[in-house]
Amino acid sequence: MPENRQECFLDELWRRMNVRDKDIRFIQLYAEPDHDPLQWTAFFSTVDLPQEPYPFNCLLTRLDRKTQWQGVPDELVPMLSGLKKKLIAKNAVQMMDGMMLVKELNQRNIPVLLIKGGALRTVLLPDVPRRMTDLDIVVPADRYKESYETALANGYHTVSNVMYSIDLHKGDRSTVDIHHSMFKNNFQTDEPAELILNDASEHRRNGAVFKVPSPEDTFLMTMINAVDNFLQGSDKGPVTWLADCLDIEERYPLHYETMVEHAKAFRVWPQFQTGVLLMRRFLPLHFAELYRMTDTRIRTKTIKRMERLLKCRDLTQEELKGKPLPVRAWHRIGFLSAYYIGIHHLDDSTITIIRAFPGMLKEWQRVDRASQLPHAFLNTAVRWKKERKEA
Amino acid sequence: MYRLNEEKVFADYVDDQMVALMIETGSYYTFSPAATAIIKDLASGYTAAAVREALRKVFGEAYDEAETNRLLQRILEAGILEETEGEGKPLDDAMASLSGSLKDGGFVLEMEAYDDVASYFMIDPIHEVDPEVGWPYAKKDD
Repeated sequence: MPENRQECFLDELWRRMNVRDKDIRFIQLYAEPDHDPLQWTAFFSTVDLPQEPYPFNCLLTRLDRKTQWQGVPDELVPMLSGLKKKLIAKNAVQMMDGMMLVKELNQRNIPVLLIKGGALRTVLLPDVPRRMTDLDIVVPADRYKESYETALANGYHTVSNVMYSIDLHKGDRSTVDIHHSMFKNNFQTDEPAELILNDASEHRRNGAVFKVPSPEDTFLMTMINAVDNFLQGSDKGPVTWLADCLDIEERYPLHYETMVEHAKAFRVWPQFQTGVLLMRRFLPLHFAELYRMTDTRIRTKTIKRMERLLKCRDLTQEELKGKPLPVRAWHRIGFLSAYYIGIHHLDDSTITIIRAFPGMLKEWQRVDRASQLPHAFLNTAVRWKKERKEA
Repeated sequence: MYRLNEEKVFADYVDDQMVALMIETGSYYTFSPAATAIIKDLASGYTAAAVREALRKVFGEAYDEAETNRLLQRILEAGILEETEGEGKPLDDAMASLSGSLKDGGFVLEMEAYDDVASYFMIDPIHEVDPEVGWPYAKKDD
């Protein structure tokens, strides 16, 4: 795949996440090692706080720590400081409720690993206020049901139960997301959890004991989660994950070899490389060491698969009806059947990625039904012939 | 000697400022950096006398003992710290250098209290606040 085609596809992915020039500019300035207040002032001339999306405004609160609000117009500072205070307060409620649940799980000897935002906020980047929609925890797969029941017994109620995790609300003030695998694409298969657990550090808060993955594993998980969001078209603030990765990189001396090794062991190497490419599209001077470790062949192959995956999704999206896309039934069946046949040549990791993608599952069912038609016809014919012979 | 009352309080620290959330009541407290340092020092085993001595050294004439005692009283009344048995640690170099970093922020002992923090979450921090002070202060009606 030529480089420019690859770049076009990456741009398309960013576009699908509604990323704006403003978001890109923010992350580029945020990544600068030295901050120029004049550049931030120029940036803020394009910002209309009341009109900006909430995740973007949340991201701006990080400038307190990063630049001490230098370059931010004076009239915006009280509002951004207030937003930061609110994030801190909401984080505190989220974490307090989460810790109470972790304590209950501890009493049942269920080990808990705090991941994603919770790990960043409590241990790895404690001074970075962030928008935390939930607290993600991982429990061993064989204690998953018990963990879920413990949460129910402690005032939580189920919001959504997907294959890889379960979302539970406590009233309307906090949410916990219980996972039974480190990466969602491994929800059906065994994964070498001990690789992450051995490097994880143990912490205690308010009597609750939990582990937090190493900075390398958190970086890896952040990136894989972001790529999943891209594929699902779930817009949770398109550049927040990049800011997280930049903050982790700034704070910790990262061992990229470990990261790559774990990405391969957990079968998320293709997504990981996609994440690196997505990062490098707007931050070409960053993560150079990581980029060197990626494999051109796998990268190209992954991008091609993602292209097909997105095309396939587009064909099924309601809002695309009426647009000049090949939506006629015969074309759709032909396209999807070709795709289906292609799947048999893909390796396990890609199959599991696709399995974890609910829209794709729906497509599979449709294709399955379509592909079963000739078999059904053949079976009927064989049965009819057999019955005639017996008669 | 004092310790953080972890049975009742969830404490969090951002940019040298502590926030404390009372587990049972939902009351929420925020502290200025100097007030945070006092709580941290006391919770890590230093005596109240050591804390006063450190503050006197750092802030000189700006130090106000009566204000320090009032803050300590409020912290104890709120149940954020609790008294425990033991002698406590006297002032040492580690504590002195920690307190030294507070000098730029001035001797400001603030402890803001919010009865039920969840009720403040309803206020939109951009559209519904007084733009001069920000969340949690709602815009005044004209």
